[in-house]
Amino acid sequence: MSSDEELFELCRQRDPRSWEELVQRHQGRMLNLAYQFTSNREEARDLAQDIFIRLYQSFEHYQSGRSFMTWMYSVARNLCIDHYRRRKKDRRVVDMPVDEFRDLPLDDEGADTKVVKRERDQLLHRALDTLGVASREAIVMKDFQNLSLEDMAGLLGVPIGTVKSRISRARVELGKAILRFERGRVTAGASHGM
Amino acid sequence: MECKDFRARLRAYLDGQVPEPFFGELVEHEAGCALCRPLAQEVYAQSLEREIPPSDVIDAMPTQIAFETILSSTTGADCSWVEQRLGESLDDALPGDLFRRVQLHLDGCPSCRRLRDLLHELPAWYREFPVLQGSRTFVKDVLAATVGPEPGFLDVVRALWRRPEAIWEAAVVCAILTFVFFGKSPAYREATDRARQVISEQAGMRGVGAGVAQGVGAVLAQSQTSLLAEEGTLRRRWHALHGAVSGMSNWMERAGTDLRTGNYTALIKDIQIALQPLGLYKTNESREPAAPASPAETENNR
Repeated sequence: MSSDEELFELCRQRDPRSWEELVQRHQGRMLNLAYQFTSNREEARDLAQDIFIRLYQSFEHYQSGRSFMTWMYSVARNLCIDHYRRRKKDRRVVDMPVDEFRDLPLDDEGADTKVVKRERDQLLHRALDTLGVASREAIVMKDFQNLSLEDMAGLLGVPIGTVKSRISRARVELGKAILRFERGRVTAGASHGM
Repeated sequence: MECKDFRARLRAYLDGQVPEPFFGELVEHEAGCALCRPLAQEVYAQSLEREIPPSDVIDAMPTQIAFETILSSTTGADCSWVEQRLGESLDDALPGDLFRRVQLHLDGCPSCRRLRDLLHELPAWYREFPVLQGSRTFVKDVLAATVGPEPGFLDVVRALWRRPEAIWEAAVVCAILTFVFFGKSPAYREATDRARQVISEQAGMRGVGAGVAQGVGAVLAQSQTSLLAEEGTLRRRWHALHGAVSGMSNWMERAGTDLRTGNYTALIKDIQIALQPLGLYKTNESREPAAPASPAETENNR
């Protein structure tokens, strides 16, 4: 099987088969990256498509010898951040993407587990949406995409120490946001019950 | 962001008191500024040591007093001092003394403990995050937006129009396929006819199973005979073809020699010989003999 770099060299010579192979190979990764930034399936699909289009249009900017993955992530990162900033500006109040959880499977687990899982996912989505760009990026790249610290440092152009501290801060920020929402839910539930 | 703005907010930044989007800007500035980065690291290192009693002093204190001392010497009620170090504490990246102090704070502070527990649980939360799967439709959409849509029927016709020899190539392929799938030899037809006949006869006499078995046997026997016959036919055809080709080769050589030597009489004769089998030329000998003349005509001729 050809490596990404070999395929990409063929893509630069406008070989459609190699390009198709690359898209096929990385579509899942890019779709999930976009979804982890947007928390919305439709937006994620459009965003992932934009990422591939941008990659295709930027063949000339790719430096031979550079890792294709790093380059792909750098292009994807810029687009995701732009989209995230735009979205935050457009939607001051974060809507909960409830539809994302309607189709969770029920057959293999009990209704209680499903409810707990749904609540957890809702909390996580809401908390992620409150994070700033830098924090969300750190969480997505490290905890969801499992990039190494070295890769992240190369991608973000900062020392590894900075990456580490950014990840630590981001996690704490996320944890605090989750606790805040959790407390809010408990308070709302208690006042509703009275 | 300028360096003076970064330095003005440095203390709050290190204490985690700066809200977004300023926090992100400060992080970016720290990463990109060679002057401010060492300054931030130095201030951060100093902040770790501020007003915290040495660990041997803490160890010597009764537990409750140690809690209170730690709580009061960190950040008290807002706990931000510990929150700033909680991530590193979970990653075992804190120096021993600081780690123990963070642990002491956690023992005495339920809200920070809840945060720590939650940070421990987060990987399990991440695993439940929905995962999107790629699809053929997605790939098709991307390809359509980049290299263009897949060619339709009209595109194929247009391409053929631009390259007419493809029609001939397609015709040859079609002819080969037609021969392979529909060009059954007489031997094949003979074998299947024989099998059909045997099956219908035997099925009537001994039942369907026996009929089929007899039919298969007959097909095999017939096939063997037919293949031998086919082989003989092919051999004969090959010899005929070989003879024709070598005859043509001889003729061409002879005609070429006649042409080169200027022996046109011999050349014309060669051409007549070549046309003769095709029925395009008839020699005197090959012409039909004339009907015998009537006695009256014979008389007139005389």
